[in-house]
Amino acid sequence: MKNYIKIFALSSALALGSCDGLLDTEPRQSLTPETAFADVEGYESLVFAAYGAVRGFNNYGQQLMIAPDIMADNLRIIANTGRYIGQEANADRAHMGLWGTGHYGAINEANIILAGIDDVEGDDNLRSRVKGEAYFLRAMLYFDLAKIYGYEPGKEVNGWDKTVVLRTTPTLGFSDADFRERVSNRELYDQIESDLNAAIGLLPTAALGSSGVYRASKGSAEALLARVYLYDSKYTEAASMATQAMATYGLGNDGTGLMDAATYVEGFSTYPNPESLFEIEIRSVDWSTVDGVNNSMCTLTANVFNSAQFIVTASDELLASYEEGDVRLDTWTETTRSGASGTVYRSNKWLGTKGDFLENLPIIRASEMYLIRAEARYRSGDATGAIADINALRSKRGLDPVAGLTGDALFAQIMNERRVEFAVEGHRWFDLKRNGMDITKHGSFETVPYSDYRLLAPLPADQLQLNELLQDNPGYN
Amino acid sequence: MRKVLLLGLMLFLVNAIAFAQSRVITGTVTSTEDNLGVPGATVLVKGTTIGTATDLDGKYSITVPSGSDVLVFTFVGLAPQEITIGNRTTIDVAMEPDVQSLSEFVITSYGDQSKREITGAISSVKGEVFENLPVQSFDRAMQGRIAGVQVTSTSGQPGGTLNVRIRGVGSINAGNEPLYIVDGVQISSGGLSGQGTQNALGSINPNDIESIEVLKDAAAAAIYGAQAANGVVLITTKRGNKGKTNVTLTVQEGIVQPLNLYDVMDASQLAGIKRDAYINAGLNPANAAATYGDPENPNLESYDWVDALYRDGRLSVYDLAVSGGDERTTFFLSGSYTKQEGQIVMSDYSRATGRLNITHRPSKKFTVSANLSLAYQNTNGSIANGNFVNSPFVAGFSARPNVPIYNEDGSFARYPSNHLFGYNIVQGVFEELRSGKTVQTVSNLQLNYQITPWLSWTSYFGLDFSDNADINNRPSTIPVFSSYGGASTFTARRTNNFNTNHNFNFNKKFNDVHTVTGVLGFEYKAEQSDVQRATGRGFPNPTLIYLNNAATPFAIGSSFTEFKRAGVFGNVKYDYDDRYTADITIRRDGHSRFGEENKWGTFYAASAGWRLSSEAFLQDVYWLDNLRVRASYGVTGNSNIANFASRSLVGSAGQYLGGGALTLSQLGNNLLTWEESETINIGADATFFNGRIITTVDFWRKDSKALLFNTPLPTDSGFGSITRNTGKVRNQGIDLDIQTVNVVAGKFQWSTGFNITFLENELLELYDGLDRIGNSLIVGRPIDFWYTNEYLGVNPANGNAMYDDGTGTGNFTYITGQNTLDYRGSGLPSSYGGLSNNFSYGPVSLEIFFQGQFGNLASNSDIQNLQNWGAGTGNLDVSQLNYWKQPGDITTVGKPFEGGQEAGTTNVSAFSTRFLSDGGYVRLKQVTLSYTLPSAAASKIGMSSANFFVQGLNLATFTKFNGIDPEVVGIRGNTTFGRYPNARQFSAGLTLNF
Repeated sequence: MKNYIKIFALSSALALGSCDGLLDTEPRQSLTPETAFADVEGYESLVFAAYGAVRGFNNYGQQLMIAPDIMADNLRIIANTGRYIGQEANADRAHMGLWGTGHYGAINEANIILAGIDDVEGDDNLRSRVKGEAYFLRAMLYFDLAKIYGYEPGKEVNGWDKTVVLRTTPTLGFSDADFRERVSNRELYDQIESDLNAAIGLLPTAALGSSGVYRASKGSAEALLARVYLYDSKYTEAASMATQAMATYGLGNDGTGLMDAATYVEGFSTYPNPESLFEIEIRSVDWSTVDGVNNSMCTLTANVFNSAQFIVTASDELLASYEEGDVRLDTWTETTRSGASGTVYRSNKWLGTKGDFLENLPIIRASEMYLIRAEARYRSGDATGAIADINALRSKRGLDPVAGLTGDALFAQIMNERRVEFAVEGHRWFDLKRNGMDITKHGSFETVPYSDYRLLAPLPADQLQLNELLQDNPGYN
Repeated sequence: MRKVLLLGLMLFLVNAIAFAQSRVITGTVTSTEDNLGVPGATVLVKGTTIGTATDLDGKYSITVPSGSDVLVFTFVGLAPQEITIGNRTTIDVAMEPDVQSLSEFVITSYGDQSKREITGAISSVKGEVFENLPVQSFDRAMQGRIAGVQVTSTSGQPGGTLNVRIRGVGSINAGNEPLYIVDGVQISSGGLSGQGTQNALGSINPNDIESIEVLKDAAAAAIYGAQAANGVVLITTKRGNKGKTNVTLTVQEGIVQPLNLYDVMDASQLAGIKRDAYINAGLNPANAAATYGDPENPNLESYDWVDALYRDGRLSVYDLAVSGGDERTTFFLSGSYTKQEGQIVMSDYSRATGRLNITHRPSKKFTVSANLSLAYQNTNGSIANGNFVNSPFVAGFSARPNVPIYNEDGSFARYPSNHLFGYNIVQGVFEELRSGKTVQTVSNLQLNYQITPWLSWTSYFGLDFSDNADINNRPSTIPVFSSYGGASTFTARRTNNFNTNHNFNFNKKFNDVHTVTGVLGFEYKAEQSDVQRATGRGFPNPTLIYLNNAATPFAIGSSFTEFKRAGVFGNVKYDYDDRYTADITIRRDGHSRFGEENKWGTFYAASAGWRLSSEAFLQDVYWLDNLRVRASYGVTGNSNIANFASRSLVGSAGQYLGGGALTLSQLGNNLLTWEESETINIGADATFFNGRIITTVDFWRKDSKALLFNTPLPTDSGFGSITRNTGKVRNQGIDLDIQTVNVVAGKFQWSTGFNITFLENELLELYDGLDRIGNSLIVGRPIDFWYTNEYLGVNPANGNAMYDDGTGTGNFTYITGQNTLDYRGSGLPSSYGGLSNNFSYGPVSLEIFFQGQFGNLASNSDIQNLQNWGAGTGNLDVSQLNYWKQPGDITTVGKPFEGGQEAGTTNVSAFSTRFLSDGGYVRLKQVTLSYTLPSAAASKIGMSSANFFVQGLNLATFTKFNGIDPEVVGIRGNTTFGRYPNARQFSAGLTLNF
């Protein structure tokens, strides 16, 4: 009996005396931020998470690759799975959406790195690289938001220049997560350009065709900056930055370094793509067992695997924009689709050649540098330079050079080169929009005028309700 | 039955003092109920403090001083008797059961108390009520039986988990499940398997249960302080009685049938509406015919996918219990086996249980008891609860009727890849293995030591341990899985949940009228669980499923989580002359889940009761047996959140280029602490007309505050929410319970049990003065409601869906947006209850039991697939045949339009009131007809009793709900795609006692 009293007294003393020791627990598969980010390697793990976000199906894993072509005039739906039906018809609110914790979480990862990496121990080369990657990824993630939610600077309709919420400091606690207004497109673009310039100064170089393109490099930052300058109508800077990127990768003005026509199509089943300046690698463990058949680019655009969904094919208008002899037409193979009449075409850009729908995601390809410089030179009045760049590319695509083009005809030629070069790579909608052009449509769908409210995506309803400082884009009721 | 347990308490109630000149009286106290001795009964010399207690056989010996001539025999639950001694030296007393059922004992694991003394709100249901019902878990048995307790299911899978809500829904993000305590073991509720819902409470065989008590208000539950905010459910299993060994054998067989399934179209019906959908969308109708068949073709074959998936299943229950004991030891030993097939092929549940409850008394002061149980549950699950192409509850109805299920050789046919991801649902259900096997024990060891007659000590150790092994095999014969050669995932989950308490109990009566009882103790609880998972792909033969045969080790994972809780508690009850009672409880608990600074919380309750019927002024009211009013107030806690919810966590985020990725997965809150629930309860218990009417009514208000609330953050911060203590939710209502004996005429008796709860739920506060969070929480509204577009019907002019335009003018629009959304009604019921009628005539008895709920608006997502006006690619409900064809048609189904995305309209699948309906229902839950063999006849065949029964479950449902089963819409939650509905069951069986 006395023993019991002792036990009780002891347990009570334990409970009352050293209360918190009694309640100590440990989340064994998680770390505290202090432990996790104690060295440069810890921050590198964080930048890997940000890369991972880019392969998400809501990101370049699917939406950003396919929706811009469906919402414009490149792809038509051939199987009604409910997906992208509204986008094809440009229905109210059927748009792209990136405004969520997935995308902004990756931005926060970049912000955490940039705020803390200078204060920890570690190898300085790795520190520079991770920091540069954080700048690069933050710029890219914000740029993708800017394209969807706002007009490009100088292309505003009715002066509406609001873009997204900008945060450059990390959210580490409740007080950091304050409510903010959308900033102007000018402010956001300035931040993006500044981040990319910082990244260029920090990142190592990576050779074309090497696994180095799976991470951000000096050249990929230059390439992305060239693209951003083009969207920002900073044509001189765009041309010179494209030139700088080409030099970094050893791309010649005559097209040296691009794939030859003979190997163009198979380049999309080569990992990395020989023209990739920046490519996201995917491994099978990144996917749940059904992601390949449910969500991959391969399943939506091709029928090479059993049970592929194969929901889109090239529109007649896209097919008509290929010139005879253009090797890029070979990225389409005739096939049939039950429930779709006549001949349809599967895309050979997304063949899942890594097995079971698996493939990588080329985000920036070398040919884009030629097309950026051509367009920038055209806008700067250098038609000769523009034609030279187009012809450099055409020489690698099995086409004869063009000559004598000026003005609108030259611009139309550049836009058409972009259309056929980047079909099913997520450029078309944005190429029309950034130039202030109406969104042309395929089939019986009606053109969406540039001034239409549907050019900009609606903000998420729950965020508008939560944050009174947010204003939705005009036209959404 | 409880008598043995009570002995310890009773022993010290009396204090024998011997006088010099006296006589000794001996005798035996028995109960007329079972003619067995009553241990622990009090024998008192009237007018003195001299008394004794009966021993385990009910025998007593008492020394009576000269001048005293009357003995008073009392025992809780039995009617007291006064006997004049006269010249006798032996007095045997047969005590009658007390007519008032309110004298039953309630076991609260820290000590027992008579229900008569309880001033909190407690309801109970006896084991007999649900004995031999083919329900797999005791939470199901409570449905409709207890006022204030709502039991719903989100799945009708046999052995599946249920939702139990006691007095409404108080928490927005923290759990709303009550605390379950089985013989003192605080068990974890929820699911055990990932391959089909498997109820953690299913390891307890309902036939082993003696009674279930539900503690509803703070006064009753505060002794459990932590976790008591959602109420407490106490389960007491059966114990043996001293005397002859009793053997009970039950055998039951029956069938399981689907409830009313959706009536879907045949091939030519679907082909017809699809052709029009193509034409209306400007598409080539030949393409529709290519996919769905030609509606003009009289030979178009139709295949019945639903019929290939649903079946009449079989159910079997076998149960054997042996109980008995002697002076020192009593035992209850039982074993059971249950198998129930689901209404879906390949879906079933089986369970084997074993139990040994044993109590041993090595000395008069020391008692040791143990309840040991072991259960094996095996679920073959179905994919349910979501819009999954591989769920039979989705794909079974929407699979195209023109597509054959089988090839001519009997093998499974390929399904077209442009629907259901090319998944032949019948093949999927037959060939995919979804097995969950769990071994679980809920056991305890309890030591009691009687230190002095008024003071005892209890040490208690409880364990809830489960080991689950899931296998999911997706063979390569299913085309979707063929590209990688099939896959198997093995998952092992182990949960170890331990609780222990050590406490003093005291119980003393002063001056014959003042009774003080109480408890003072310490409790500690810890739970750890870990999960290991591995997936392999590429099996050389589809019959091989183990990972040894996998070509590729594909993915692995493991995780661990734990929590710890500790507390001290004290309780004092005071009773004056059985008229006035008061009760005070205080408890202090710490929990590892909370912030460093705020781990500890203090909970308390006070209550008082007044038995008016014991007062002189009511003594003459002959029709009033008992009348008591009581009031209580208290605060209890809720810590039902993720184990590490207060901490900033850096967790894994997969990999990139083979390097492990980490991310800041959660923002911490060092200030996080207990959610509190403050309850006021005012109740009355009354018994009239010699027990013919027994009624309990409670008026209650429960304010949940400092809610563990996932307050939303702007997603541009990178985080969706952070858990903070903020917000306040009020639930208030009335619980009413009436038991009546309506007719007693010779051998005929009719009695009725009725309970109903009326309740309302309101969000009182959010934080920072916010009056709403998006369209999901609005101050002044219930916490679960529908905020959506109002559907106005089909425009006869063009066949388009019309919605209220939100301007308040009553005008319509075709395009929905922010402005067309509005509050449309509560998702929570405003009342629920049950009604049982028992008729008996001699050996034959009939029970008819209804259960229902009212006032909730329920969503049915299934009709987004099945009633999409022909816009989708799957089969449709036959109601869709009456669709709009030309201007002027007045229809409920609009114009079929392929894809549903006509220019200038919102997609036809947009959520609106079209998908909502009244979720209220009344269900004929149970009818049982039984016949008990007369005891003379039974003894002739060597049995002490024999009983035959037939019963039916879920026999009829009265509802306006637009889906299969209004019960599985759940209490909260929005998606109701593909719920596994409940089944109708018929069974017959017999119970034999030897």
